[in-house]
Order: sequence, then C-alpha cells, then structure tokens
Amino acid sequence: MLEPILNAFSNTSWTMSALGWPLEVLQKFRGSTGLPYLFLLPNMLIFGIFTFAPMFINMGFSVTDGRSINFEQRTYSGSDNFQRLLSKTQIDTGGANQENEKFLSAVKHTVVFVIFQVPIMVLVALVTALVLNRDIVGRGFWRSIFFYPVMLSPVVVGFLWTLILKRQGVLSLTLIEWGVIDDPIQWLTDPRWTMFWSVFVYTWAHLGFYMLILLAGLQAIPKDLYEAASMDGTSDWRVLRKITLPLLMPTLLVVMVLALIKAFQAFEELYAMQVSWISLVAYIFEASGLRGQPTTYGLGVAATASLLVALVLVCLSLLQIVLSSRQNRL
Amino acid sequence: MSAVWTFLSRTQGGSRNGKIQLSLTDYLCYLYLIFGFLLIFLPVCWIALNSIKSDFQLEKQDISLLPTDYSRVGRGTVNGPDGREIFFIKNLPDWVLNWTDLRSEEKALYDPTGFTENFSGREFYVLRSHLGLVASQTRKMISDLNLPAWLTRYSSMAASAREGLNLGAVMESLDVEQQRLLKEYLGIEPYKANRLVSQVLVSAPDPVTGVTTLYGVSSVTSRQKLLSARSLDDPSGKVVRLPKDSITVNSIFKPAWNNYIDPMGGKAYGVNVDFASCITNSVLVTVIATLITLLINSMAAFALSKYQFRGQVIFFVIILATLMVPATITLVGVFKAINATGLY
Repeated sequence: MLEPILNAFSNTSWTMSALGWPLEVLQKFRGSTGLPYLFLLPNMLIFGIFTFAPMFINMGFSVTDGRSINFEQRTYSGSDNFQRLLSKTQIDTGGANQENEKFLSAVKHTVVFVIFQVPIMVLVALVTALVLNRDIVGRGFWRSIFFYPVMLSPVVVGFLWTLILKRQGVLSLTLIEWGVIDDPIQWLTDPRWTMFWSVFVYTWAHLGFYMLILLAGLQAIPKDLYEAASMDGTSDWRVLRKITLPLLMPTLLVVMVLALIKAFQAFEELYAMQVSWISLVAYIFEASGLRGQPTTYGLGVAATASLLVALVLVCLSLLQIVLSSRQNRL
Repeated sequence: MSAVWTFLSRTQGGSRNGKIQLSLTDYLCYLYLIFGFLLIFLPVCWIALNSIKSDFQLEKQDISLLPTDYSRVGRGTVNGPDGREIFFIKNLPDWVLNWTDLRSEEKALYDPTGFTENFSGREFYVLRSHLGLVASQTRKMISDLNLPAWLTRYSSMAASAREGLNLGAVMESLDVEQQRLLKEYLGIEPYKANRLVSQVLVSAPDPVTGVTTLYGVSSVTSRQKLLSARSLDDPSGKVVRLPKDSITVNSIFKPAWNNYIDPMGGKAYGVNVDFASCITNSVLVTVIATLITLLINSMAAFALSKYQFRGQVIFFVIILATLMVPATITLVGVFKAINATGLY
C-alpha cells in the first residue's frame, strides 16, 4: 500500500517538479523576463553585503577620524588619513612609539618580497611543470606530492616551519651538530635571514598551484610539433626554447600576474611565522586595531591603506584579465 | 588498489621499444623530483613525528627522530637526625616521577597513600614528602589523637604567639614515627623538606677505575662537555664529572599518544579549547558554506547561461569584479558590514 507513495517520492522528476512548480507558475503568469533577476538576487545580495558595501564603507572610514566603528561618532577629516599614512607617525601609541614610518617600511618590504618571490616562484613552478610533464615513472605520485602543500592551511604551514626554523628548532640544532654554525640562529627574526625564509616558505606553500596551471598549459601544446621536432633530430634544449617556451608564454604571463597579485597580499603564513618584517596586508590588519587595542586613527589609516592596496590589485587584476583573454584567443 | 597503483605509476607514453632508456635529462629530472619530495615531505614528517613526542622531550629540544624517553631513576634527598642523605630509588612508575607536574584530576586517578606503604625508612619518607602526603597525614594524626588545633597554624605563627604553647609536651606524647611526621610538617631542624627529583639513568665508565657503572644525571642534552653525575651504587659519595661522549643513555621507545587523546577530551595542556568542538565548528562552516555557495552560484550561473536579459553583461562583470577584490583588503569594511547586520 505504501509502495506507490514511496515510488512517487523516489521519482526524481516528481521531486523536481515539486520544487519547480512555483517557478513554473511564476513563469506562466509573468513571462520569463523577471526570472534571471530572481536567480541572481541571492548572489548579488551576498556579494553586495560582503564585497561591494565594504569597499564603500572603507571609503567612508578613510575620510573620517575616530575610534568607533559607528559613523555617527566619527568626524570628517578629508585627506588627513592619507597624509598620516605617508608621514612619520601614523598611530600614536604613546611614549615608545613603535609605529614610526610603519606604512613606508611595509611598502618597502612588500616590494622587496614581491621582487624576489615572484621570479623565483615562476621559475621553480616552470621547472617543476616541465619535469612533471615528461615521460617519468609515477607521474601521478609526483604531481600529488608537489601539489600537497597547497592543500595545507596557511596556519599549519606557518606552524610547521616555525617548528623547524625557531631558535632551538631542528635546523639550528642540526647545523650546530654538524659544526656549520656555533650558536643557534633565529632564522625567522634574524634580519639577515627573515626575508630569505619568508620567500622560501611562501614559495614552498604556493608552488603547486602555479605548477598545475603551467602543467595544463604544457598539455595544451599540440603533440605534433614535438613529433616534427624529434623527426628533425632537434635537441631537447632547442625544443624547449623554440617550441615549449613560446607556446607557453601566454600561460606563463598569466601565472606571473597571478603570482604577483598573491605575493602582494602575502599575509597568513608570514603572520603565523611571526617574521620580523610586516607586509602590507599585515599592516592593515594590525593598524585597524580590530584585534587588540583600538587606536584613535587606526580604522581610518587601515581603510586608506587598504584602498591604496586595492587600487594596485585592481590594476594587476585587469592586466590578468586582458592577458588571459588573449591566451584564450590563441 | 590496482587502480591507485596505475594512477600513481602512470607515464605519458610508456617505455620506448618495450625497454626503458634513460638519458642524462631523465636522471636530472629524477634527482630534482627526489629533492622536491624531500623538501616537501621532510617538514611534514617532522611535524608528524613531533606530534607523538612527550612534552618533556620537546622541551629538552631533543632532535632525535623517534619519540623516546630516557629510563629514569628517582633521586631522593632526605634531611633527618643522621644528616642529609642522598639515594636513588629505581623502577618508580612515571606518575610518581612526574607527580608535581600532574593536574589535580590526573592525581585523583592514583593512590599515593597505598603506594608509599610498599616502602619503608628513608624511601618512605621521601615518597611521602614528594607525593604531598605530609600535610594530610599530620592533620589526620592531629584529629585522631586529639592533639591541640594550634599545631596546624604553628609554623606561620609569630615568635611571641608561640611562647604560651608547649610544643615539647605534645612531642613527648608521640612515638618516634609520629614525632618525625610532625617535625617534618613543622619544619623543625634537622628536618627539612625531603625532595625527590627525576634523573636520567646513564651508564658510563668510572673516571677513576674505568669499570662501567650506572649513574644518575639531571640532563643529557646540556651543551656542557662534562656532566655532573652520582653513582647509583654509591649515591652519597662525591659527585663525579663524566665526559659527555663517554656516557650511554638507555632510552626506550615511547610514543606520547596523549597528544592525540587529550585534546579530544578538551584537556589540551595549557590551552582551554575542546578539539572536538573545534572540529564540529570547522565541519559546520565547511558544509554550510559549500551548500550555500553551490545553491546561489548555480542559480546565478543558470540565469547567466540560459536566459537572455537586459544587463546580462553588467551582472557578469560585477561577478568577475568580486574575484578581483581580495577579502583581506576589505577587512575594515567587512567588519563594519558584519557588525551592522548584527552577526557580530
């Protein structure tokens, strides 16, 4: 007796029409013009509230002063925050002012980081992709190994490397054992080493992602070109220079810009490792005072800084879109 | 299983002529791959190995690969009428050696009173002090024998307040063992607090005679060349200085599974978080976020791909534009937005 009812429930088309009938009715009476807007509504609502509104709110914060996040309690200050950002003292933390020229130093360090990190990342990702694209035993295994760090959370990556690079960590102790160094080195905070290890760990953590994009680009290169080259007896090096690299160039450009955007926003791993320099995003995070002590100008200064960073990133993203559309046309 | 193996060992073209030919480039490639494998996997393995090491081993900055523990020996110091005595007690269980580091709920799992009853003499005295039984046993004795109540306050009294109290008469009424307990409790000379410390058991040749002897040392990881040690056979004799490279440490393989078990019960050392509820939160966020993303994005994708409507391009550009704005940049604004919507 129950069987027909159960059958009716397990019948996919029945459930589908149960879900779909209000929409069908709507479409019958109002036509299909309104429906796409209805479907887009939740998406737009969420993006509106959590992406677009915050951008305009940021603009509001950047032209006002005050400790509160309520706009009624903030006073209009024009371009003061912008000037504060470029001046010596941005946030007065009292007697021992630690914040002197912090924004400029964040910009400087981030630029240094980007200059070193992006070429190294692209180069290593390219070499890895070229190797993994070869006729090697256990390709799936090697590919998953190189992709593995991408799946780790940034905090885990930070903790993992802190365990190795801290003062009494395994690296210092092993080097002492081997007699390479005499005293343990604080790799992450030592000013001579902090940038090296930041670049290293960041590359370690994000390599797999770019490797994967390049690998896809390599696989898209037509095989017959290589066949023709091997018939002509072309050397590996010449094949790489004359076939692989020119055809991979559009993908390589996209990877470069993506790596640039990502490196520009470097934050999580570096914050978790407590390196001795602060990146731009770390500056925004710390200046905002959302975690820790709120300061008088903190919110405004952080909002202004994030607008500046957003401007750079939007330019980079536009470049990326242009490049990838060119790649699609090729 | 074989499918997994096929995936893992798949190559693009297979071997040429049924025979594998490796060129120099191939060897370089494999070298590079192995190097990359080590660079990626060694840190992960290190963290995995560290996760089963005991707190003690991690604090000692021991960089041995396996979770080991040294074989331990308890070194007791007893102060009494015979002067200061130093001696070793072998084969004490871990919970006795680590007693002072245990938390009260862990201490409740054991029976220190019953344990001390297996010992006598100075071993009994040192264990009684170490396991913190002196105070409770004194209080029990005071109530059992109807001794004056001021005894419990006596050690903290001012000298003028002590004058009217006749401690000597109370002592007279007790037998030797009871006197000793009370004197230890009150800290009357020559009785001082007895101490038991956990030491590492090592074997090394005697610096004078060269005979292999067992020694107790406080730490084997210090960076000094010479370690101060006491012989197990002659504990009250002189402290000998052992060269670090002459000693053999008896270590035993001992994974600390508690590192996994404790957080599950919300007892992570020094951290007041329940790991189980953290997992629940993460799973909830992941599942709900995925469901919402799937639902609203497939709705939007359906609208954009199957309908032709005014503003189609604009909507598409808006959605693409959100990819450009990273979450970290809109930090302040997002906080305000969440605050304004009442979610925080």
